[in-house]
Parts: sequence; C-alpha cells; structure tokens
Amino acid sequence: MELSLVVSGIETGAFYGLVALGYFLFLRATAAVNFAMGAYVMFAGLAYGYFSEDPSAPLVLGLASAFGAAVLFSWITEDLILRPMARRARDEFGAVMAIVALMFVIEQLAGLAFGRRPLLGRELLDGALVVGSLAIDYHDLLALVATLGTFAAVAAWLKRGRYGRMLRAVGDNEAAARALGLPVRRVRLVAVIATGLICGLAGILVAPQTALSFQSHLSFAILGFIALVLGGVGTPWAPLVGGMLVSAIEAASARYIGGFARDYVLLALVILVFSFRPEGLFTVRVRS
Amino acid sequence: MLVSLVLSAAFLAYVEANAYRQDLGMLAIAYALLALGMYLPLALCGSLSLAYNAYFAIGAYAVAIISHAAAAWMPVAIPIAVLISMATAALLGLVTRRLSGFHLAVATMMFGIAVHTWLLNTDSVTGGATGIGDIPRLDILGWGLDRGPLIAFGVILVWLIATAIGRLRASLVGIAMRAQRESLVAAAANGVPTAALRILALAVGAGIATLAGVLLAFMNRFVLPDSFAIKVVFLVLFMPVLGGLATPWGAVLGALLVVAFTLGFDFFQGPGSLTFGLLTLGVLLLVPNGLLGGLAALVGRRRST
Repeated sequence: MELSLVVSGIETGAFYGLVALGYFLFLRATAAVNFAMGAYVMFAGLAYGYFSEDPSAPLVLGLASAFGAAVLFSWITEDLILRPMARRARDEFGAVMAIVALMFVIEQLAGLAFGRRPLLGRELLDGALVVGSLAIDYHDLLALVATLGTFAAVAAWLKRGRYGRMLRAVGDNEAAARALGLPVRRVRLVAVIATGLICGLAGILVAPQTALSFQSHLSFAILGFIALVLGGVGTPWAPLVGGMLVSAIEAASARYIGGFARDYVLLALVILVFSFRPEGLFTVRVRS
Repeated sequence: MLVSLVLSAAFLAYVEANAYRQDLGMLAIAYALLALGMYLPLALCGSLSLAYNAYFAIGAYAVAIISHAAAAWMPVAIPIAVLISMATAALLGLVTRRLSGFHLAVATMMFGIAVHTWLLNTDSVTGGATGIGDIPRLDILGWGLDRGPLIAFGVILVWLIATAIGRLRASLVGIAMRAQRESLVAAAANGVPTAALRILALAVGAGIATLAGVLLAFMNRFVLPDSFAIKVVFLVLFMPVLGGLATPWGAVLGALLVVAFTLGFDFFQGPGSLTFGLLTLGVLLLVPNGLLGGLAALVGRRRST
C-alpha cells in the first residue's frame, strides 16, 4: 500500500478522533449522544473557510468566529435544550428529536450564512515537508500535533484538573455528586464549553483539508459516533483509537471493494458493533 | 371525524385548480403517509426508526421496476411493494432489536443512507442517478387513474389510514403496545409478546410509508434517487412531533405544515426550512404534546373553568 494513503488515513483518523472526543466529553457531562456535534464542526469549518478565503483578511477573524460559533451551539444545546427537557422527559425520545431538529437548524443557518457552495479554508501553515517521493503539508503535520496535544490536555485535565475530576464524578454518578455538593450545573457548563472548543478546532483543522459544504455534517456526525462507540469511553484516549480504526476501515473498503462500498461496510459495522460490543474496546471496569 | 371529512373535501377543492397545486397536493399526501408510517411505531411502541427514506424508495422503485421488467404483474404492484417493505422493516427490526435510543437512531439512519447509495450506484437495477422513467398510469380494475383522481385516491388513503391507526390505538393490541412502551418488564410479565409487537408495528409503519412512494411514482411517472435521500427522514420525523403524538391526525397536520412552509419551492433551498426547523425546536421545547395536543389542552382548560 502506498505511504501517502497511510498518511492521509492517519490525518482522517485524527479528525474522526477529535469529533469522537467531543462526543465523549459531551456524553460524560450530559449523558446525551449529541449528533449535532457534526454540525458544530461543519459550521466552525465553514466560518473559518468563509473568513479566511480573502488572503488579506486577518486570520484571527476566521479563528474567532469558528471557536465562537462552536462554543455557542454547544452551550445552546445543553442549557437551552437538553437541561429543560431532562427536567420533564422520561425517555431519550425528546432529546433525540430535539438534537435532530437543532442539527437541521444549524445546517440551514450555515446554508444561509455561507452560501451553498463548497468552501476550502486557508492552510494555517504554508509549504510541505518533502521526504523522498512523499510530500506532507505542514498544515497536516500541525493538525496531527494539535490533535495529539488536545487529547493529552483532555486526559490530563480529567485526571488532575479541578473541573476535570468533578466532571468524572458527575458523569459516573450524578446523584452522588449532587449530594456531595458539587456544582453540577457549572461542571456541565465547563465541559460543554470544552466540547465546543474541540469542535471549533476540528472544524478549523479540517477546513483546508476537505472542501466543506453545508451538508457535510451528517457524515462527520455518523463517523465520529462510530469512532466513539468503537473506541469506548473507558479512557480519554479511546476516541482517538476509534477514529483511527474507522479511518482504516473506510480507506480499506474504498480501496479493496469500491468507493460506494463505504456506506455498506459502515452499515454492517454499526449493526455488528452496536449489537455485540456497544461498550467499545476500552471500558471502565469496577470491581463489584 | 366530521372535521377531517370537511377538511379533506376542502383540500381536494383547493388542489383541483391547476397542475402546480396538484403537485403540491400530492407532496402533502406523500408526506402525510410517511408521517403516519413513522407515527405508528413511534407513538404506539416507542420504536424510533430513521430508515423511512428506504421504505419510501422501495414503494416508488418497486412500481417503476415492475412496470418495465414484469408488466404483467402491474395489477399487484402495490401489494408487492408493501410486502417487500414490510419484510425489510421486519428484518431491520430483528437485526437492531438489541439497540435503543441514540444507537438505534444511528443504525437505522445508516441503513437509509446505504439504501440511497445503492439506488445511486446500481445502474443495472435502479437506473443509477438518472432513475427510471415511463411509468404507466395506475389502473384499478380497469379504471385508469389520472392525476386528479389519483389525488382523491391519496386523500382517501390518508383518511382511512389515520382513522385506522386511531382505532388501533384504542384497541387491545394498541393498549398492549402502549403498555410495553410504558413498562417493558411489566408488560412482558403480563404475557404481552413485546418483541413481536414492536416488529409488527415497525413493519406496518414501513408498509404505510411505502404507499407514499407508490403514489409519487404513479403521479410523476418517473423516479429519481435524490427524492429518497436521508434528508427526507428529518422532515418526516418532525411531522408527528409538530402535530403531536396523541392522535395520528397530528402527523397529517405536520405534513400539511411542511408543504405550507415551503410553498412548493425546493425545500432545502431558502429560509422556509430554517423557519420550519426553528418551529419544530420551539414546539419540542414549549409544547411537548405538539400543536394538536396543545390545542386540546387549551380547549380543556377553557371548558373546566
């Protein structure tokens, strides 16, 4: 197999991993699988692409709008949608449908704001690293480093950080955390904002790699979710492993069966993994 | 009952005016059938399936393919389409029976996406991206149905199915379905065949959704794969929610609202769809029982005071 294929597979895997990390944090904080996450990533990427299209425009405008939009959407999802619904609903239906509706709203908003044509963002670093016949864009290297850095930061935060440790407590047992007097709502808010930042980063990093359109979000949401389920929620690194696995499976099915086979392989994967190992590869084991 | 009959007649009178309104009317009927198909498992059993674009496609493509490959079978094309769809839904229900909530939503959505990919890429069977044309008009016992009568047929179908689902809801089977939604364990302990009931509801719902595809194929006389992309499912999912889950007429109301909001322009272009999405979100948050449910509560409050 060509080396360039492996490199692009790792780039894609890192991106799916980042989306899955967003799912992971949001799930830990709110117990909801937030499909709209793909839409935050897409909106952030489109915002970055839109404002960085003109090479003379300041980069900071694109970056700020991407992070700002993703954090805002993430906060809206928790504070204005999920929290009020959790107070009265018995099951997940309301939440599933509200999230689907929000996803649709963000999609249409993106279509109105940035137009319905595909947008390609400006690379954060120009040039490429050339090794023999292989050329890797500096932007892609930066994306990989930033992804690994984000994972390391989230892992350290959950292990040692003040809010990170409280988040683990809230995620493991909300009632107990509340009884111990932890500020559950504030902890959730911090986690939700962190999720937004991760989605913003993912959008900015992917925008120069793939041309985004206002309908890209569904495949991000689905592939990120599969990565999350494959990896599991046992450690903060699990989403990265899941992302790499999904990317490898996707690339292999496209190469050995055909481009359109991807959707069939993903369907089989979803049904098999969800049915037989819904807890993923890495799980939390507690002695009982 | 009386209200729905009067409204159906008004709908028919409005639609008869010109071809453009006929297209709108048929779209509303197709959406209503899809929404009713989704309503049945959702409201009665609590089973959420997002594979409805697949059942919609099965109806349309079954008619198109039979009309070209086996014209002699045309008189029974509709039952064949419905049966294929019900079998598909039952199979999908069996395969995903261990899943619930978000996982089930993603698995069924992935099925819908895979079916759309299949329609686009299997040129020998489905005609690929260009679809299939030249579908003959619908003949029922020697009566050829043109566009106008076809719409009337559709309205009758919607009316019959909505009424039947309303009756089913109040029947013993319906009560058993709703009981297992409320408490699976309690229902199972009382001898309710919970898994079988859920799969039955999913299969019947899929059969109803298939009728939407059948009617659309006969109306347009052609089928295109892009009419059956996964985005259709999101719209259809909003319809019963918007109208309210307490009665199947909520799903019909939701379907009419969708068409009214978009006024026949391509739904996915323009601010109409954004308004519609925001409206759905607002109804979910503020009027959890849907528009009809909210209306009923309002009327009830006025009567009691």
